[in-house]
Amino acid sequence: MKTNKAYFFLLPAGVFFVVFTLTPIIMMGALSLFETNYITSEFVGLRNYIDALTSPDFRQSIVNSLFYCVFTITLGTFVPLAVALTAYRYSNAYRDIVRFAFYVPSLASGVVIANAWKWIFDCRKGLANYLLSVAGIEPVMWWGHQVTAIGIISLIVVNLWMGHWIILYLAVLTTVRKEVVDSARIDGANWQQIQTKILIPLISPWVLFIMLLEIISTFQIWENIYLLTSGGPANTTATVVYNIYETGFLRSQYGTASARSVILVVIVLGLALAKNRLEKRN
Amino acid sequence: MKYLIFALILILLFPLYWMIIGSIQPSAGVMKLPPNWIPRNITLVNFAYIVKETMIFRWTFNTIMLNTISLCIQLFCLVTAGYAFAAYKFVGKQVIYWIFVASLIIPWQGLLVSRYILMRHLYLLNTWFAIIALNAFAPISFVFIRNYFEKIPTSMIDSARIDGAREIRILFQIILPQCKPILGYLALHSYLTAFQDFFWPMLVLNDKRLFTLPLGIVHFLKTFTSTHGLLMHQQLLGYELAGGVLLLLPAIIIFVIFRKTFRQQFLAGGIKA
Repeated sequence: MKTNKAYFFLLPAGVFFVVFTLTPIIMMGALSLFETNYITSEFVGLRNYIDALTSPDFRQSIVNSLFYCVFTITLGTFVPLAVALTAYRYSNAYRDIVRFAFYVPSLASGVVIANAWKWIFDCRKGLANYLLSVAGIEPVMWWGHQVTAIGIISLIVVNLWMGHWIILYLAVLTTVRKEVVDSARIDGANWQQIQTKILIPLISPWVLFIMLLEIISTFQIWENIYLLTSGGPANTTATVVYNIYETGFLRSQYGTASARSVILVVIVLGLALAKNRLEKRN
Repeated sequence: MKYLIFALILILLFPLYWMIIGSIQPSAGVMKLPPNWIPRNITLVNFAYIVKETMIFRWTFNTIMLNTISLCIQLFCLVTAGYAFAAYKFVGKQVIYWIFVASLIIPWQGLLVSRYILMRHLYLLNTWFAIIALNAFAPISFVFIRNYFEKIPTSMIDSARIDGAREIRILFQIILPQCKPILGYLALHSYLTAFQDFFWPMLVLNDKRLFTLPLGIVHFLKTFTSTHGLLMHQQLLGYELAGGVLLLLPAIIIFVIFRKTFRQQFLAGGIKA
């Protein structure tokens, strides 16, 4: 076929892609070499990168993000795995209920879920502290400590995705032929053995895949931090993306923010390449 | 284990229940300890306040309108580009595809600052086009579409050409009808996310009259917190819960109308993009 027609069909998508995706990528690299705010702009070479790597708040945000990962990986990867493995064992009806129940929160947005959880963990009048007081435990300042605040935010974020991972795990598990499980049973394997010897080896590449996805998305948590803690107390709950938002939009240091964005992109790129390699293997 | 999972479900769904029953009680009732596990003195006063104080109907309309426009543009771009890949061999095909896929792994949050500055240079700040432009071409959806188009036999396109059909006609009369499921799926998710996202709209829109629903509600709550937050702590609680419910409503409506599509997604084990 005449090939020039193909370019004609590619045009609409191409224009949007070049202007609003490719150009910003190049701009990001260029801006990161300048000290820029609304009015002035000065070439500073790699100073923004050096600043980023030495600035305590950015370094802290990377450490915080890793801290979030601990929570998001356990809650977002292993809890759904346990749920899926259990649901797999029971009837279809039970599986449907589990799938649906975990899926419901993902219909709600981060804003909705954040609002719902926020008041439960309110330090003065929240339900969580009330329940603690009934149990005779001193009230906890949930948003005032790094561990509890990060834990709750992770739970909220993970809550939105859990349903998807359970559905995915179950889809993988149902590819195991029934005869395999049945014959293992006849051979005298108990459920524990079937799980560890048949199901988990089958599903482990997916577990790793979801783990990487969780790490990637964890570096980019922003919405819930904005709504719940604004990065506080003392910057201990800010992730990398929240830090970029602060430098870029609250302090209008576009150059600095761009350099930090480049660092974020490099981190995510590394993780994404690992993820793609896994995907190919699956 | 079975019961442990039920407990987990209860814990995870409880906040939603709590939000819904909290939003339909007078604020004093929500703050009461020990709490009312079942709503008492049901009232819509929280919703009434939000409706009175904000442009909530306008924002809802905006969200639908904005998403419809950007969805049309998006589908048009996707389908034409998909057709170029399905029906032609051309120089640079692999390279272009590779660039699209490569751009996928760049997190969009990394591009926030430069995109914002780009919009400022193009005088697109505070216009809907700043949002539409970013939705117009999503490489992830393109990958979906391309995979889908590849299943359509090329012999079908070839025979239509031999019969003398023009390219545009082949695209719209032969290819498009076969893509309804995937296009429907993309449309559904675009409306769902339109009622969820507020980050980018918040950065580019200033004019309240242009706000989308999630942005509007977040903006209202943030302003209320900073102006009356300390004095009217109780009322704030009611409004925050009611705001959450108002944002949940569109998603529920979409879910109920299109439950069959969602069900298929469950069975296929698919995940959203």
